[in-house]
Amino acid sequence: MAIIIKNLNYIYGAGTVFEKQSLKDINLTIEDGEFIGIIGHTGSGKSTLIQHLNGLNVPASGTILYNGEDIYRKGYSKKKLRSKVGLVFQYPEYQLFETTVLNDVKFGPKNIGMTDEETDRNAKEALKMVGISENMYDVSPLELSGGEKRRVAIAGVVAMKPEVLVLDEPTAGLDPKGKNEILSLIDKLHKNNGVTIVLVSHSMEDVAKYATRIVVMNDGEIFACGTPCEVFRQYKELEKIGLSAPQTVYLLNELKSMGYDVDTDIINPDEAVKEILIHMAQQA
Amino acid sequence: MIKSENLVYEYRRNTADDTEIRTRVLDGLNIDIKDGQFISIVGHNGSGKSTLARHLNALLTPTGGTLWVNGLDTSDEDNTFSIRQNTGMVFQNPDNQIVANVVEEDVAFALENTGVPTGEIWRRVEKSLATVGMLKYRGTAPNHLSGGQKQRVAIAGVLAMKPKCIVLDESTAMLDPGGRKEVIEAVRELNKKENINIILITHYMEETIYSDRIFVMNKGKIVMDGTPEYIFSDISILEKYNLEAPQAIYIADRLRKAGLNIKESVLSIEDLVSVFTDYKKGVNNGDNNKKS
Amino acid sequence: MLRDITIGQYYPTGSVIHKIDPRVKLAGTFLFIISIFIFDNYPGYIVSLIYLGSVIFISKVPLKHILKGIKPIIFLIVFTAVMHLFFTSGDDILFEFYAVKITYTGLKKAVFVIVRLLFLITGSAIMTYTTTPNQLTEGIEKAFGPLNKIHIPVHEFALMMSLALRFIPILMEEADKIIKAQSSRGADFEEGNIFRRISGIVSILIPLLVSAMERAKDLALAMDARCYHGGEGRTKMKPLKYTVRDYISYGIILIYMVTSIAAGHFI
Repeated sequence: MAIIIKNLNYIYGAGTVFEKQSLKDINLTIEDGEFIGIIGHTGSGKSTLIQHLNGLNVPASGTILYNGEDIYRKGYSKKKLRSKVGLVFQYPEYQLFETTVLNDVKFGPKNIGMTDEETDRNAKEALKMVGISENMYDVSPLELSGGEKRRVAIAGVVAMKPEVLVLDEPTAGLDPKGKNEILSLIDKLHKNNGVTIVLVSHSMEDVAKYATRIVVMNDGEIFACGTPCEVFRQYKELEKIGLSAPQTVYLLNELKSMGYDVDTDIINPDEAVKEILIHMAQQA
Repeated sequence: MIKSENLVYEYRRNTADDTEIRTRVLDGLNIDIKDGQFISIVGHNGSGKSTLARHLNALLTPTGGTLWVNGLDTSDEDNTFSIRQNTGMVFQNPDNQIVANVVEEDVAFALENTGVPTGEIWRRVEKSLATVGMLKYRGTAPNHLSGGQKQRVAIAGVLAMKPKCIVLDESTAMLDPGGRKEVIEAVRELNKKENINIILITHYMEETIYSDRIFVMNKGKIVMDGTPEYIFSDISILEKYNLEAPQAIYIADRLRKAGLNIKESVLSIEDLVSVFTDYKKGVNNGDNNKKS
Repeated sequence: MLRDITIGQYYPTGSVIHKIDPRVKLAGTFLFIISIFIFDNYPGYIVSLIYLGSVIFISKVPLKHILKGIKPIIFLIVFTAVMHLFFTSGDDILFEFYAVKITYTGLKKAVFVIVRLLFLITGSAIMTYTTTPNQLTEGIEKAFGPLNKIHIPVHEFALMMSLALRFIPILMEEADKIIKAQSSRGADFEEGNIFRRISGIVSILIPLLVSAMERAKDLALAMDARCYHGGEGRTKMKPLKYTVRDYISYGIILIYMVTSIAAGHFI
């Protein structure tokens, strides 16, 4: 029972001409240890939703409970919350500002009141985890490559030792190698360190590969929610809102409609290959 | 028409102790691109693809070898403007390439720069915006457009120069899937209908399957050059260059390696499905379609 | 929060005022501002009010919208007025309480300062509500064009202005995002000791600066790619040209100047 979102409504630009209800009655429970993938096209409310998880956005109505406590209650420490629920923004490399890589990663831990010793240890641990070697600690973050900057920025949040890590499109704009590095890093944090992950992504393939549960957002509402195969069973409905399932799902469904008795719940391409081969062997 | 002979680009940097470091970004490229082709260039970050793109527009000039765009040597400064009118560039960040505060005025920017008369500017702006399907947004502020729409405005701005070639330097990298589709559809149209040369630099392999030719770059060299069918016929080579194939091609490759007879022209799910449709017919006819 | 500032943002209604040449509007606003500072009696202000009111009415920009735009600066106006009220010396004392002295002259000055500031702000706001930033820059470019002859790069300044206008909303949005990102890393902007707060502010300013430079670099490249090479030999998509409407407007401005000054001085 990590995070419970209750009847959450959010109005963007309240009182201005741009006023728009960007979240409508969101109810969602994120359990400890889950890997949640949030999917939806631009403007569907995904980013707005996750900015509530650490109290950055204040809802018009409804609330969020973190470990049973209302985060919008008066006197609830936002800073403590932010040390527990880490949020990595889209293109996080734009938040780097310190003179050295190591100092930048230390910024978060220091702010939340860790001791110098803890700060140093956690920062180094986080950098090691994201694959930044020691000889880069004293380099200016501005001299790094795009992928490295992104990893340092993520380390800056990881070093705060959050229980929940929320990432807004952490792979946007990266090449396939950079993308895979980030995704396997997140997977490692989930599997080895037991961090609860909330991953916002545009890529169905990525979400299908890692998430234990998928939340599909559309027009400020939760359109669908369930395990990846539950969600992708509704691939025709997903298309209606401008999204699509991974190609594997289409292939298996097409084969099924052609009379091949394949399991259409498979979403992993390697498993799909196995399944097809078994059926072809039987037919031949 | 774009042609190069032993194109080399190096940049030099002095370290603190005054030793010169030379980094070779393009390493002896020989390219030959004919008019009207749709070329995709893929490669991981630092492979040199964006540097090559900037050469095509004379934003960079070779430090060794020669590059001709439309028969003009890009190293000759007198050719610069003529080359830039001929080869338009669309960049990665949609916000950072729109100059004006109104869509139509942005499309007019290059025309104003090159001294095109006012009446002609209006005609060309209108036509360019119509071609990319953005005419109804002509009076809109760019800040109110989606990423895909902004990139289409950028394409229109290039199109207004009546170029022979448009280079898209990772122009889809910052877009969502919908925006990417908009941009790719727009440039495919231009290629087919206006016979404009398209050079698409991208990380998304699924965008390259429509091209006439794909260049795979690695460490400043073109390491693979061929049709999509050829490039995707063995994805283990692509993986070696840190690239990944779309799922459909990946599955086709695996099935092929497991012994199924799957044509190399399979580039999409539809292609793959049609292979199985043929299979089904084949099985019903009692043929044996398996590789011997 | 940064988005709440609506004053000066173009408000399209398609009115006649919107269609007037920006040079006319620039001149009109300039002269209007001068006029409200050369007289300080009621008849002059009444004439000004009639003209200003008519322009607002014709422009079709809702009064409510204009008032909303003024709201954030009300404090400044009230503050200035209060300063005048309390610190104007004179013999015509209206009210006295220990050291506090309010004079009739002070009261009059306070009222005038309110009126002047309101007119000044509304007058310039109505220009920006009815003129796109682009038209405005073009108006300035054209109006100051002759300065080119003495080697002042008017076109470059105008372009700089127009680019600034284009990127201000983008950078504001970015600032918003960076503030949120650094807050997520526990940065302090309002609480904590002074060092903490400074480090919080630095953590916003540096990324914003870096990003602005990056954008500038990209933009320069994009402009190069589109054959930009300064103002020389440039043509215009929308060259400014006076029409009958503009000459009439100049006439009205002239009549306003004469009537308001006459009212201010001779009645």
